[in-house]
Amino acid sequence: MMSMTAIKQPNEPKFLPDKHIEEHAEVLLAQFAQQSGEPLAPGIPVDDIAEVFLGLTVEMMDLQTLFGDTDVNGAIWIPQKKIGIDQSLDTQANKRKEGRYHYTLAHEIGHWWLHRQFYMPDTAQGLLHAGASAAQPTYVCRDKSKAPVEVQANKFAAYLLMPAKLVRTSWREIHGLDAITLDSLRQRQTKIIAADVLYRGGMAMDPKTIDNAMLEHVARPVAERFKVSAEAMMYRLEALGLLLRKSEPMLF
Amino acid sequence: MGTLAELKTMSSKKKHFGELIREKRTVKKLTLRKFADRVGLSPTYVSQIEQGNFAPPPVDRIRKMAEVLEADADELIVAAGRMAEDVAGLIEKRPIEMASFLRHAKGLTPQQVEQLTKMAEDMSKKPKKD
Repeated sequence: MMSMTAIKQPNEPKFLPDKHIEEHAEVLLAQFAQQSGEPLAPGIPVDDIAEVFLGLTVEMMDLQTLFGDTDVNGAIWIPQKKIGIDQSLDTQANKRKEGRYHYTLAHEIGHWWLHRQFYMPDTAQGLLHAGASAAQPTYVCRDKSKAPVEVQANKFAAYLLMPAKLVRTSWREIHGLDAITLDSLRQRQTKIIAADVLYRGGMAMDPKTIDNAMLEHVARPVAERFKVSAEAMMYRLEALGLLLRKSEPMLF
Repeated sequence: MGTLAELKTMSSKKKHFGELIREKRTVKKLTLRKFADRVGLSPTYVSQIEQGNFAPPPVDRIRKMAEVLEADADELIVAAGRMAEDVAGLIEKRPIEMASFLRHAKGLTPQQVEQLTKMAEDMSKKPKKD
């Protein structure tokens, strides 16, 4: 007898080592590069990966109203092969949202690549439940969610948009061979913060915000090449050991 | 027998403008944002049209879409429930004759309409004697 459950029991991975997530992203990038016939370069074309390579439909929607939550940026309907991006991230209305748009799309691609196997409907039974699943997305993605699948999709997005090799090459071209420490930026703090306040149009002046602003200042030219936010690039550069919050402990 | 085919024609007739645009855009391997950029509209606006939530854009913008998609502008304009300005003008100019002409042509096969079009072409090429 066939089971009456159309959607397989969710059996999402609670834990995936970062290395595996990175490998998943690299496999997708390699397959995409092979099909497009062009070498990968900074500014990974995530729209093409989602829509042309993976055949997913991307729609701009008012997700924040739909789910009554201003933290919602994206959603994915896995059986419908559909991704929704909140219209507040429209890149024509606001060019500065481009980084957030790319990250959100890459995050949804992450769900598709890592988690779709747990949600594809049983083709024999799929139609029976199409109505119910059509309305409800598989994942509604909120900022700063701590759910394991959301964290995995976030990491996947970082690896997809900012592949280690390309980031290291750009870093060398922009900042040279060495890592940059927060301490080494202190002497230029006033100047950097002044420039950043102008760029952002104001900012809080607590120590953590100031530290982040300095690191983002260094990350920004790299971020621009990869069309991601300075914040996202800052975290990636820290993970790659190119930006350091703390100096290496000295022997004396 | 023919029922499935009939159903298919019916459902394809019901395809709204946005679905048609999305279908043609997908065939052209154009992403939503690239397409929106080329036709000079925001991705949100184009996406809402594709989802059928917004009405089709003005005719000049539909022409631009046809150009980008290398599609037939008349097909898109009709799918949008609009009429090309020149066609509307023709009917307005000679409402009785044109309406009667179209009503009579209604029952013709596509081949017959083509034949008639060819004849009209030839006739309009010849110097008019009056």
